[in-house]
Amino acid sequence: MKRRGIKGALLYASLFACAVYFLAPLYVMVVASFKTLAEVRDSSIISLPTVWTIEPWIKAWSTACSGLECNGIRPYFIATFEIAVPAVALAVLLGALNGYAMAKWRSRAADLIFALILIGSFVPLQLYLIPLAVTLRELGIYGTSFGLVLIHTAYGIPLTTMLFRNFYVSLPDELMRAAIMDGAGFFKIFRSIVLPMSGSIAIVAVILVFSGIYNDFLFALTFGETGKRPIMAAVQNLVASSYGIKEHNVNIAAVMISALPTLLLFLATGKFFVRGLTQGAIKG
Amino acid sequence: MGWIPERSRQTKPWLVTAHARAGGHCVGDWQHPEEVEGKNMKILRATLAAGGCALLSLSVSPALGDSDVSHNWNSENEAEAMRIFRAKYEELGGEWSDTAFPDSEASIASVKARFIGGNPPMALQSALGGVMQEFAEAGLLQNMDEAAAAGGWADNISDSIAAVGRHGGHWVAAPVFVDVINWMYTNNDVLSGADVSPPNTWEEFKASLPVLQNAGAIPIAIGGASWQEAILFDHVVLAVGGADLYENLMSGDAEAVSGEQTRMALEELASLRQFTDEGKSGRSWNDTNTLMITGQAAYFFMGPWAAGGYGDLGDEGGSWSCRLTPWDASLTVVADGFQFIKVTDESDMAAQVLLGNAVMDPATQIAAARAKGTLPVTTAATASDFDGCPAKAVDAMADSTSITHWNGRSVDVGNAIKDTVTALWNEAIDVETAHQQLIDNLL
Amino acid sequence: MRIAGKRISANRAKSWLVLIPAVVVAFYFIWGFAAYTAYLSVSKSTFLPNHEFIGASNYRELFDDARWWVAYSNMFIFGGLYLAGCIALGVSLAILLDRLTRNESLFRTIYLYPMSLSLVVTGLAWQWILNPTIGIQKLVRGAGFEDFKFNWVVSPDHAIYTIAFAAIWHGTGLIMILFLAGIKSTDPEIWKATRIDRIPPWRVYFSIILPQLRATLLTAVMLLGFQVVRSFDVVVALTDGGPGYASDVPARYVFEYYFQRGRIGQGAAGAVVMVATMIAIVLPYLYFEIRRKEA
Repeated sequence: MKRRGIKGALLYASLFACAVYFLAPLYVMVVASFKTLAEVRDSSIISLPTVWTIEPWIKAWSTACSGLECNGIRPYFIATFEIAVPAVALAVLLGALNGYAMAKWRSRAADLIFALILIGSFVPLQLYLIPLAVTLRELGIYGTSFGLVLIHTAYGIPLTTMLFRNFYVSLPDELMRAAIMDGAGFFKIFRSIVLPMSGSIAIVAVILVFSGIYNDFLFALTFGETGKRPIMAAVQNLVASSYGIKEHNVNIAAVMISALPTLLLFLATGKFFVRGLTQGAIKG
Repeated sequence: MGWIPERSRQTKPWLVTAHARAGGHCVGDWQHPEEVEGKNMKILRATLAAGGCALLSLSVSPALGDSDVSHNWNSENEAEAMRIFRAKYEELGGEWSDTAFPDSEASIASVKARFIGGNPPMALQSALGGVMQEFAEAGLLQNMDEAAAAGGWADNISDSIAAVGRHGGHWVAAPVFVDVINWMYTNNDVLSGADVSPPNTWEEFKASLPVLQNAGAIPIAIGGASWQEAILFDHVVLAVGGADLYENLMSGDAEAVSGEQTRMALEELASLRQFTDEGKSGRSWNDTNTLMITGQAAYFFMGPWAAGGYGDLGDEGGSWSCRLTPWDASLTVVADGFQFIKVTDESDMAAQVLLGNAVMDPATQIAAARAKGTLPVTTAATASDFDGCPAKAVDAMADSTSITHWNGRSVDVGNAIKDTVTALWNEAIDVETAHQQLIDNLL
Repeated sequence: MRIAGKRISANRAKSWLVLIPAVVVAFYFIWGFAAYTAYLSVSKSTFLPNHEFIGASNYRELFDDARWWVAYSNMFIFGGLYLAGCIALGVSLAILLDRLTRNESLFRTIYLYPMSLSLVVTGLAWQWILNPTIGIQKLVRGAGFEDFKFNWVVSPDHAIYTIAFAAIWHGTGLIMILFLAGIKSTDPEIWKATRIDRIPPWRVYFSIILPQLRATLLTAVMLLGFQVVRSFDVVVALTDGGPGYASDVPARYVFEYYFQRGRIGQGAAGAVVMVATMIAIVLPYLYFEIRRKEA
């Protein structure tokens, strides 16, 4: 009994030690974002604020300056959603259709396409930057939100296709056979049989693709629209610039705000998130 | 896929790909992978050809462009200067769209990316030098001759400044400021606290460093970007060989570049490293400036933009002051201004004319220069328009040699200096290697 | 599957219609782009794409550049540490969690949440903690240890390690989840048998259970390996390649040469070398793993 107690204590001690490593950055950022500038500079990074203030959050959200504009990160935050929402919808819808076509109407050619897009999704994105810029120019949408929607849809499709395809492969074919006997066609089967069964995988896909787009930095940096850069590029820009004396508390609050959507999404949909990560680990 | 153990199902998607990578086949549930392999390769080749060719057939066409101004005037005083230009521009009927970056390199990088994307800003604020030359030679800048003639741009500036705004005889940029770069900012309280009198020679300066360090101050405040390190190097070059060495080094004179003085300058630079603080890596210039102004650091070598915008911490002449390089009577100068990018949209072209007229307006230029702490190009400015650091620069211009700063020279020169200096300063290479690298890259 | 019926050909046509986006992505956005960039690497492109062929000179410039070699070797230093760190810590945490009877989901959430954050946020957060004048060093010195030194993030010799440190913080949770799922899917009978034989649990994990998880390990290595080659965000946010270029990585180097330097040809050459390196490492490993499976 005693040995077991010691072992249990050791187990918890290790778990707590690791928890400290994982929670420390979050803790440091949270306390710093509620301190006044003077306190951030003078106090220790782990001490709690002596006076709690939400000023840094307000300033980061709506009045921090970047260049001549002093609107905080709100415009960039909103712009990111304007890009992410349509791109997620498109990538998930097209991925579901592709996955369905590949899993249930399989042909050798479709399998080849699947292989080609999957292999491609591991390639460093640097390989795509210049041709993307050239393509967006030819379409006349370089530097617009629409351009980023296109990019994120295009590079979201491999992930969503993979998720849906692997999910649909596991659906029994008998259902479809019966439907075909009843005279249902390609889209009818998708709408009335396949789609209703896709709830959980669709949630997984939405979470993963949204996180990927929201957290994207490289495309945001390269193709972001003037004054409406997606959030990660905007936050990095805000932190790197300083208008007068660097306001660490405001910068940290800005980083916190930018981290919140995916963090909350993770906390709210933990199970799906985990499932998405293990299934879609592919995309990272 | 029989070789995948059932329990590790969650890893399956990956292995599908992994396997496909290995053999170029065996995707999903193919029945005859071997058979497909040859076909795969053919299709793959066709793919590459089709996609790649589609792109190759695209040409680099003139840009439609956008109506924004890309700039890096980010600190309080710089932004104030830009606001003054903006106000004039809006008064003339323009509509301002702002694209700001932490530093000039990021701003120029963005414009280059936007050239590829066919959507460049209508104007780019930057030092007028190598980058402008590069853009102009590629035919990417707008011919502003008509606007310049109509707006009388040349009327209020000297011929040598007007030449800076032209390429191949045509106006492509509006020079607005003459930045004298080689300032040494000093916190006098820190100096007197350590019983150090302001140094007038390089030897005095070097002698003061350990004293200041022992007194608990950071002797030299410096940030963590190669351009900041290269600005420190400017002062060292002037100390070792004055204006002659600077000019010869930057213009790629073989004797000067490979000579002993250049090696000495590099050695002197490396010897200063021990007198800096360890927070320097990655620090922006304005945070570094704060170290000097708040009395944590003694010396700060920076351009004129560091002189303004710290009103609540005390103005120049109080606890801190600015001096041009004390150990040499040379000025390293570079023109700052707006390059006009070739755009084809009528309204953007009209906006460019308005912006050009706004920033070339003498009164606006003087006001903006005062806000930023630098000198306007307009000849309408008189000594009485300035106080503090810019006034000192005006005085110095009368009896100093002006040399073009590296930032006003070709892109390759700027990169060669910055690359070598940052490698040496951050201990990636030793002095000998650095010297060899300069020889390789400048000659 | 084979579906009998008359409507099949019409449905097949529809299934191709549906696949058009995937075809465009595969042939244009992925392979076409890759081919184009490969071509750019032998073209005369400076700050604009230029299709004039100039042979291997961009590669010569690249290989002559000391900066490239710093970035390139950093990829291996970072990669080695990142893989070893994530897998060692991830496996340990998976085992610890597997031993836990209560609170498993609480701890799992704590270890996994960094994964939901972006690498930019990760880099910026660690930047403050690692900065000697703000973070840990100041904290420990403030506690009375005046000589304490932890300045890796600003040290040219150590900055790359801090990037690995931050990236491990971000990536461990995923590896933990993969292995936890693997461990939980092994046969529970093992435990009954080993308990009777009085084999200590750690031996059961290391001698019996983990060896069964080779496929999981393969997944983990692949996953992390591709992250390494792609690493850009965390480097830019944490050190921006500094001090100097001491912690630069190929992905950042390529980006800088594309845009800031306006040397697209040389940047593209770097991108091609990145991909070639990836293939050179992955192919033999996969070959070995697959041969092993088949044997």
